[in-house]
Amino acid sequence: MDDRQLLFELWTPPSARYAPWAKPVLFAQMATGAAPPDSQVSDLPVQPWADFLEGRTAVVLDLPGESSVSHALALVAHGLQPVPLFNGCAGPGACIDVESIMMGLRRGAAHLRHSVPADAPPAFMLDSNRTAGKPPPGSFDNRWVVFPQDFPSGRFLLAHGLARVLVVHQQACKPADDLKQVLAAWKKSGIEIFGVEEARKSPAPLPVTKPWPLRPFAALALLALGLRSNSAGGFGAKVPLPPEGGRSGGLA
Amino acid sequence: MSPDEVFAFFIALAVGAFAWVHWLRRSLAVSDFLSSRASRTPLVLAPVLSAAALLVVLLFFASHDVRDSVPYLAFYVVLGAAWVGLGVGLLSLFGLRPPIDVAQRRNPAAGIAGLGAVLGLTLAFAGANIGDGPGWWVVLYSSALSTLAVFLIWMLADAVAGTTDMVTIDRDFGAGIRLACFLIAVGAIQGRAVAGNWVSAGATAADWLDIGWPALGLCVFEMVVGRMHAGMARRESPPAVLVGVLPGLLYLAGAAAYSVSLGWWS
Repeated sequence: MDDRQLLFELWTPPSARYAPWAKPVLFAQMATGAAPPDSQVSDLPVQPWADFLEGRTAVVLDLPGESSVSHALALVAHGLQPVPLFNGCAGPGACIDVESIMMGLRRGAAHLRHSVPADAPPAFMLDSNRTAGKPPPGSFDNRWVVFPQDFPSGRFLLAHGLARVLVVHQQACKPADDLKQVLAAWKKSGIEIFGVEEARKSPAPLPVTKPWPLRPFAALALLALGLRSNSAGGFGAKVPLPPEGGRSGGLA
Repeated sequence: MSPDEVFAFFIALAVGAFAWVHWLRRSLAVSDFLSSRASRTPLVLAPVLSAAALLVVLLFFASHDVRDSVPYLAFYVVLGAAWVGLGVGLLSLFGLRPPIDVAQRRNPAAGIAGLGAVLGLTLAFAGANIGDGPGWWVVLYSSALSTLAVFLIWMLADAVAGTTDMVTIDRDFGAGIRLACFLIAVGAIQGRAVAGNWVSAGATAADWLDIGWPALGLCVFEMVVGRMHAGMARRESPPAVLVGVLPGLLYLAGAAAYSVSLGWWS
């Protein structure tokens, strides 16, 4: 088996209930020979809110890239299945740092050799910086967004005993518009949505109002945001340089 | 071919090539790591089956000056590729993006539904090519009526049944089969509604309303089946045969029976 496939399947085994939603974009971009190192990750974050999970809660880790990875690893001890949803490609001069996420995924794979049950609740991993900034011309624009189609439906979660979702943020719990779409759809299905800052102990109900309807106009919205699809999958392409203006001729 | 036909041919060629190259590139250029090649078969089949279905209709039911002329056959196939290609561009308004859903999200239900949408739009266009008419513009006029009806009826059914969400978000294969059959059946009825010899724009619109309205019956049926399916899915995933194949075959049989009952067009 390809080393990258091995890594991907360590993160999300094909038998896992939520494996169909995992995004292999970053794994596909890893160099071959990217076998998981033997060393385990030793500095996993403290999760004071972990008692809240109680086995019937799905988690959305909306944290800066590598932090999302380390929190997902820590949640394995609580019986959750990490589901990487990173969808931005790596590239030269990339505006979103995905190299550190790829490194974290590689290092963390060794931690995942002790697998969780196939029906374990999911911990969806996002990069909260996914839409940060506006890339200048000539840079590699790998900003990305999520759609409701990237997550299981509320009906699916409820049918499998998950009645609430906990969104973990670094600071103030203010989900971006793309994630709001997902949370609003879940809430409409009857799922309770909670939010917590990563260092806080007590989650609180997260008010979710549906933003501008992104999903039905997905293609138009992508154009409006200026996001760039990558032909090999996911998001990421070079921002074209503006054409140079004409110069008047003349001898030097 | 007249100058306006040559002009229309090259415009259609450019639009059709752009739409379908984009579709195929999105479907095939994606890394094999993201999804298997076999799972993308419906995406590759869609443009091939669409062109084949249109060619068959043209060869058997188009005006004799089209049937007997290779350039005209090519012209109307290219016009159809452009028309259906433009229609495919509107699928994302329903949340359905087959190349992304299948190749990147590994959702086979969306592949089947996407194939059904392409064939439904093809039949809506193909019907407009049936019978004698003064030129290509009447084909576009009739196609606009039938295609608009397909989208409106789909929108109406979706507003109540939410079938497209069951395909793209729930990844329900039964819903994918049923939606595919629904769109093919509605496309067939709408195509039949605009078939016939050209008299006038008003007469075509009157015929379209008169013959095409029973597609609303399918729409109501789909609303009921879709709501029942959603209710069942809250408890457990119902078998695809029950919620997909059986109602899908009913839609197709209903559209076929209705078209046969109408007899030949006038």
